[in-house]
Amino acid sequence: MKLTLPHTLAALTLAASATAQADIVVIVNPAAPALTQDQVADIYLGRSNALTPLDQPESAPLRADFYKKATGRDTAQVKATWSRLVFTGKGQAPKELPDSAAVKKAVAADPKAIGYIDKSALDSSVKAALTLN
Amino acid sequence: MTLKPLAWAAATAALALAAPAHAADGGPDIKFSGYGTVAASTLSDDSLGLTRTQTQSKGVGNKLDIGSDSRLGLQAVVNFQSGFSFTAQVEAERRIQSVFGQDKEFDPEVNWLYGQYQFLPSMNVRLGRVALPVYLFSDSVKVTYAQPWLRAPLHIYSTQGFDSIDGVQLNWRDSFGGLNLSAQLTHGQSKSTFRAGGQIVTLEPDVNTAALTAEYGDWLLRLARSEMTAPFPPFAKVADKYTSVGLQYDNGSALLLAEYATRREPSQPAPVNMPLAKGDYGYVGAGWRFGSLLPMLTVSKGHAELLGSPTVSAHAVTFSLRYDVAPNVSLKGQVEQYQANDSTVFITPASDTHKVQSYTVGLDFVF
Repeated sequence: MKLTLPHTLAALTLAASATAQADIVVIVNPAAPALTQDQVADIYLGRSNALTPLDQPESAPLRADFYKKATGRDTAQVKATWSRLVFTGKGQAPKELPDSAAVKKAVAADPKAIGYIDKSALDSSVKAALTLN
Repeated sequence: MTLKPLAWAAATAALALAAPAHAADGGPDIKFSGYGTVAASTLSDDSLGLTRTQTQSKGVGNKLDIGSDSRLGLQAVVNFQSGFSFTAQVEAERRIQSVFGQDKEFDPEVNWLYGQYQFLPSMNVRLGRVALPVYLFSDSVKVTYAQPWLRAPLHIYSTQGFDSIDGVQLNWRDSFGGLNLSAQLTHGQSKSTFRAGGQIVTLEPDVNTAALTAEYGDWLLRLARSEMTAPFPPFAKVADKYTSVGLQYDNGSALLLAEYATRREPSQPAPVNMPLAKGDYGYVGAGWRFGSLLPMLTVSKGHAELLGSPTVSAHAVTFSLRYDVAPNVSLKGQVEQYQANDSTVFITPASDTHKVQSYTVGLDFVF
């Protein structure tokens, strides 16, 4: 089958947006209520200790994407924010887990935990509290 | 009475109380972390001696100085299950010794050493040594990686020479809708050797501080009051009272920081009939992030009335630049302009107000 130029462009555009604009879901335990973006930002910037935040690895593009969308801050700004809390004993930076499967497992097991994963990894073991796109 | 043994008592108590939890849960969670700064500074005038803190008596002159702003801090947190934790932090920097001008470089000191018990989800109590939380950044002022500047505004952060306090601290925090509130009460005794009017003084004041912080989205407001009371021969009692308000707005791109503080003392008895010290200090800073770059402009002012010294009102302008090189390293530069008569920042201020420039570059890191 021969692809026309518009078809090819459309396919490329779709592919590009799928990788760069992948939806991220913030997940909580099935027993926990949904959250607003402000609540998620407060938890991940250490302003609120309502839930225990979990992180993806520092090298994961998903992590930088999550913080940009949820808090409007880049990785370095988030690090600076947590440094102030860590070295005054006000909190420990979110625990880092190796991948989405580990985050899901931890959230499913703990009603106080909150995490974020790629939307494609969502299943019924956890609840989608907020979708960021 | 010195409360130093109290810190060790707290440490021992925390360990003893946590021992059963240790056995039950298979081990406490131990975290090591650290922070540091490597910086070089110079001042356009060699005769004034700029210092970042009253606990230094060797000032920056017109030679390149790598000791005034450089430091290294190490922290260990042992988190036992069941709400007990133990924190220790040691920090090394240039510090005053017994001879004026002969400070020791990278002199280590224990800044934090406390046992903490979280007895409610919203409340904990700490026993031992904690940083003295007088101003907005006081308890993390040495962690400059967490600040936009390489050197926090001296008109606030060099005004008192006490870094930590041995005693008890009560911390409360809770959320009400989007409003996050926290309160902190600290009581105990501090001890510090610092410079005062060209002399080296060691004081052990009784200290009480109360602070209330409100965070709402990108806004933060902090109100605090600190009282330090000590005999200061030949005066039987000096009671310094600092009242301060701090404001921060940070939406990820725009950054606004402002603080204002007053220092007041009751008058000394006759024949002095006046307080030994009185001061008003403040700054306003604004910056904007361009990707990893954060340029910021800060203006500050200090008004100090010290018994036996001329009253000085002096202002400063600071241009600072932060560049986040990596997620845990920032490269910073700072140019500051002071008035030569500024008694808050200079060891030997001039009598005139000619302009003096300070230049500082450095790296901040955390690990």
